[in-house]
Amino acid sequence: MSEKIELLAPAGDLTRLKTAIRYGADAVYLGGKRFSLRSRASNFSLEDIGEGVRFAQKYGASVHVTVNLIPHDEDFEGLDEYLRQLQQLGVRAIIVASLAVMARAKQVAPQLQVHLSTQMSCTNSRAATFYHQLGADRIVLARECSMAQIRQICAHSPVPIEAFIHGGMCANVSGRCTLSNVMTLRDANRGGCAQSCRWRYHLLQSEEELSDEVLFSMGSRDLMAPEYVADMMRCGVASLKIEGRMKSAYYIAVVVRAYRQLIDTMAANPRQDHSAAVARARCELIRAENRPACLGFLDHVPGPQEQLITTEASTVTHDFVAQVLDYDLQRQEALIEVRNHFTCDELLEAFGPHLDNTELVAQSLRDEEGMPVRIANRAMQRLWLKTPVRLSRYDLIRRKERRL
Amino acid sequence: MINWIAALQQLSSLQRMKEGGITTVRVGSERCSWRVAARFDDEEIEQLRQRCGELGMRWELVVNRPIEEEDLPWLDKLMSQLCLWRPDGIVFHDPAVLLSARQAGLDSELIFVSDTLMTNAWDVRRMREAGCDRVALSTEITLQEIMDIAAQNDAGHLELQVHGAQVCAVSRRPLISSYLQLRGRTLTDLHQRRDLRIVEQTRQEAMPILEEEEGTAVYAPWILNSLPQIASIVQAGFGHLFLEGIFGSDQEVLLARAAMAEVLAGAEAQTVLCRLREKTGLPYGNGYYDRKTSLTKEEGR
Repeated sequence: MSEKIELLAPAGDLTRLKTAIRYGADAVYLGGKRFSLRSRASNFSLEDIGEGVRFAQKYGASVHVTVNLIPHDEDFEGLDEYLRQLQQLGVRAIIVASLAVMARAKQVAPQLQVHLSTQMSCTNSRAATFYHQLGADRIVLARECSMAQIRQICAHSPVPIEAFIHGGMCANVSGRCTLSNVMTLRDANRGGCAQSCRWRYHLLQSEEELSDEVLFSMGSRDLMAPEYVADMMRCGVASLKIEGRMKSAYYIAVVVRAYRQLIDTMAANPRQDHSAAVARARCELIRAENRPACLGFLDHVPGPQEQLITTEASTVTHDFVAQVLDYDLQRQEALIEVRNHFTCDELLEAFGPHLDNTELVAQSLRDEEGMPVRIANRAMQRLWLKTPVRLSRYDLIRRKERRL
Repeated sequence: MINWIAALQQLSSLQRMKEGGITTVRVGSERCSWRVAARFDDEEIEQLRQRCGELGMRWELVVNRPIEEEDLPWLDKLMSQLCLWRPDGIVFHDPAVLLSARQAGLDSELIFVSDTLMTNAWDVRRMREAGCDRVALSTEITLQEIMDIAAQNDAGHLELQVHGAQVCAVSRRPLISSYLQLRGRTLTDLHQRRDLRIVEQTRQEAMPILEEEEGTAVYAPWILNSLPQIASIVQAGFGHLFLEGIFGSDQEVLLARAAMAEVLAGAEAQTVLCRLREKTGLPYGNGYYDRKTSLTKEEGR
């Protein structure tokens, strides 16, 4: 079993980058203001990237930058200089969806690793060999690969393999979908995807309508696959990728921590039965705000149960209510920043990079002027929460029972 | 001289294709193709080979079925078969086909058709350098972008789709049958149907959709027609122009080819287009020739 599998987490901004790393990611991937696929999620200036790299390096982690749009001619303007700057900042790798961008990177920034994006839809080791010959240092596999296929590809690929383990999934093959282009003129492969696959459609056979009151949709459930972590480690996958640059810091904390603990447990005891650890991880993962989830293609080609044709009730079990900023040992009070409403007598749960899930009830709440507060209902308000539970900066607090 | 390529639905159309100005037919095989105008069995491929030889026509085989790791031995066997069939061209998007064909010593022209990846001059050049004899440009680029790419490459080795349905999404999932199953319905001969459409609930345009064993494909609501642009395209030096016929017929493709010949001989494009539209009743459109896609919602407004 590989003890060195990398846990790769998304980072939509510096706060989420730091959260991901604090909660156990070995590496993070982010997008810059240009050249990246998630144009709305990408808000890292070069200065931010530099700060992110320095922060990551303190934890022994690394930063990958997405340069993964499928470019038109004008998108190459400024690319060479950007790549040089990324190299200079200490970025470890770029993720690309263009062989031309790959070639440019090898020429102008040879210290950058070049990872081939899932947008290139690599599904076999022979294609991996082709991309390796052209310079790829790692391949992010297409999400259409089963676990059995991933195992075989790892055995025969000349380059390390990265595979998705969690997060949103496209119904269509990545990099081959222009539904958004057709319907909204927003370019799906240059950051403008309107998620048209999740819209509702009438399905017609000639003039006859085949759909009923529940219209046709191509939406997919999310991927959630802690069951496959052991397999991935055993067969030598280099990196487990979590999708979600647009997700909240709370989501990142929950998901990264769950997979971190699972990986560490499995690596420490490779021969043991890990079903309990997987169950614990699953229980943790549903505390984050996910769509209904499935195993993707890992077990079988997704069918009816994996397709979202209605807005299904979420399976989330917890609400994120506050972030811990500080803890006063003497007064036994935590300075928190409110994110969702809660009351003084509610049962809460705290967790953190070094704190297991711990129940607590706020003994009292007061604002920074010392005035008592009964209901915390102002987002971003700072309050003092009295609790003997020793909390730390960057711990998070959630409500154990979801309020309906 | 331009290589006019047409998707072929029926072997019986070959003679008319030749007479109608088609130099190459592009065909599917039950062995290795999906979302093609027709899938021929081995016997039909043999007949096609012979007939093309008699007529002096070229033929290209589409090898576009998904290639997963366990398919690699199958791919090698396919290459052995192709060494016997010797198609003039092999259309592919998975680089495994390129490597396998080279390894097998095939002298067929290797034609990279990726649907979406060839959107700039440099990626086109890179694929040519990597061993592709011909590269097809993506569909979601403007006419100006097409011209710019042609100007920066040897356009004689480039292909452009100038007619027919344009695919806009490909999935490995059986999206239609899954939906029908969830709703407690079935549809006979689903995998052979070409009469299915989807219409977004707030829109009017109908997008063809098909499902086969390999997955599901959705097509743009227009049938691309390049009559107003064809003269410029020819002048730009494109060596290969493709007419797709998946939702039409061989007859419709021939009508389109004849219309292009008329325009290239000097007829007014809009007049010819009107006549063609009256004959076929199809929803012809300009695709992305004069519509540039934006990056964000704000830019798109």
